[in-house]
Amino acid sequence: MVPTLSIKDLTVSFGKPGRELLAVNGVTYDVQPGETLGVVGESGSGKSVTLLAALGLLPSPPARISRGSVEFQGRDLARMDAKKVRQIRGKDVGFIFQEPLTSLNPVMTIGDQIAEAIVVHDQNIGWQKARARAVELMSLVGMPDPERLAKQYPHEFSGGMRQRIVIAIAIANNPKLLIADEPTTALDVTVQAQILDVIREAQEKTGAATILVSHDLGVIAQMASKIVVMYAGRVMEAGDAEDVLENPLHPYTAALIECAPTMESELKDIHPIPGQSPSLMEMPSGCPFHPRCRYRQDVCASRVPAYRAIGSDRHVACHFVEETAEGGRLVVPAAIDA
Amino acid sequence: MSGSYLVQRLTGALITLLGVSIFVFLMVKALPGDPARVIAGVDATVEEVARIREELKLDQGLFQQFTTFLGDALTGNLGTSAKSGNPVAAEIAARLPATVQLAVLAIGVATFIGVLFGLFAALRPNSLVDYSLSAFTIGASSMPAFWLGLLLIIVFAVQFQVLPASGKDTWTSWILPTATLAAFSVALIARVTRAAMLEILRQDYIRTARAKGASERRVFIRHGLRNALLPVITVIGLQLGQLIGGAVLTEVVFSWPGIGRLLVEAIFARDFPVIQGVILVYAMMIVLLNLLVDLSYTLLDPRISY
Repeated sequence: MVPTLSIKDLTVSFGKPGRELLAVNGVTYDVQPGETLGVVGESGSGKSVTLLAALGLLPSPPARISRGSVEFQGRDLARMDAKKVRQIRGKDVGFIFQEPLTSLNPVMTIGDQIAEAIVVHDQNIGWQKARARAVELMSLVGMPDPERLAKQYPHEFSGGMRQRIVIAIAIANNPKLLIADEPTTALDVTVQAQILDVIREAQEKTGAATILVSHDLGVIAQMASKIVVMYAGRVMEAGDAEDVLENPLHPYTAALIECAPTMESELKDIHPIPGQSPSLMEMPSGCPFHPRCRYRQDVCASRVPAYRAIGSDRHVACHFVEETAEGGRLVVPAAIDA
Repeated sequence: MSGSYLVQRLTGALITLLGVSIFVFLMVKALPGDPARVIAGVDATVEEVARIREELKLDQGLFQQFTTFLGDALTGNLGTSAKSGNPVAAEIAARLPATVQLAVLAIGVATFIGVLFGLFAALRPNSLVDYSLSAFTIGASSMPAFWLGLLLIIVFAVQFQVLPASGKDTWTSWILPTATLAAFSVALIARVTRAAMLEILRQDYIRTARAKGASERRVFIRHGLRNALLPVITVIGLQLGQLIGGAVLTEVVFSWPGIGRLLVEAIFARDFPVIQGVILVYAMMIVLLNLLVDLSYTLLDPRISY
């Protein structure tokens, strides 16, 4: 089966050649039709940058794809004309962003903002039909009285409502791929669950493959069937969601799970990872996680571990993963709330 | 927009105008020279001057003089020109259209060019185009109108003899005064447009528009410029006020028959009623323009409502 999106060895750099900083360094993962992939990592791990760069949404300069490929249904976006990528963006790939409060144009009615997503990809439909379709989409994402609300402006809506509008825009053209970049991070906890439901429904209706970017393991565990764990611009571990969460093979994944709070955990049960994720300007030698890794050896500081297959459906970038995989568990993972 | 806001703004505007009229009145009083003597002429006897003083009520108290002046002004009576003997209101009415026409034309040209320049500069920030436009705008805004006007006359009217240096007889005579007047505003409008666009283009909703697959032109105009319009409109409105008032030098340089030249002539002739009248009209127009700019916000930005 041709993956919906297949990212191979993607490297995104900022700045002039020679003095460039690598925000994304050799990232490889793919998502199959209908599947939900969760991308986890701390802020600055390159999880959003990977996808924004893949779809040509990073300002260039300073950002550029310096290596690798991004195949959308078999066509390489990284080598495609910007105009062609634009025709895919918004039509075959829908985006949901983190900041519902600022991701809508304040001086355009929400009906028009949804309709615009349709009009720019279909010259013949006309605004009137597109607006009617926008109203349908609004009721699809659970907005009451869409006819009336379509004529209102973003500032008249709450964050949750605005995120529903953003979702309506994302699914306006029945995309093949839905990219949700921290869709619930800026929202109240009570609204988070609703928005996740709306995304799930939208996904079911459109049959789109979904990439869910989040730093929240709980959200990922709820939604994703596969997981990619990123750190400092690299993929540390990837595999089936349940396997990875229950039996992490990379020390970073294990540490992430240990510091995720659950409903049962008390403060003493939460173990934050010591230190901070490195800045792009001071990337450690060798494995980028080694300064914070409790299992580190001398080799970790000198050589970058290869990102390699372990078993049939697992990839890990750790020098000692073979031993870990044979010797059992890195930690006893706390239960992740599903 | 609620009616109370409008009432509030109109009251504010009236108070401003009252303040201006007090200021203008006192300023004219403070000027050296005796209006009665100016009107009577150099040969007049002491009795004649005294009679004129009485006619003009200059012998009354300052406050009483002011209330008379204000009452007359409110009924459209700005007094009589000391020089020509015509009503000041009629003199201003005859010259005002030329000033307003020139200012409106200049602001139109300045808006068109300024917004265009600003957009191009914002499209490629820190590029050669951006720097050239910056250099141009700094140059244009640093040149005083009278100097630029004279320069243009020397080049186009004297050297090449392609455009008239003065008057307003043919359409070609509009070109140099308009260019002179527009130069400063072009620069300001371009700078404000550039800054506003760069600010707007960093916003998340611009990324949303791109994520929809909107063309760069659409992103730039429909989402960028539409949002950048607020500060740009503000500057245009304030500049129009400036152009009406600031046209004085330009009108003098190009012998433009507007109220700016009327003012200068009145100052030279110590024609106090005309000076008062013209300044009052300037103030009224600027207050009115500010009001219009404020009210236009509600149309431009749905988040603003009064």
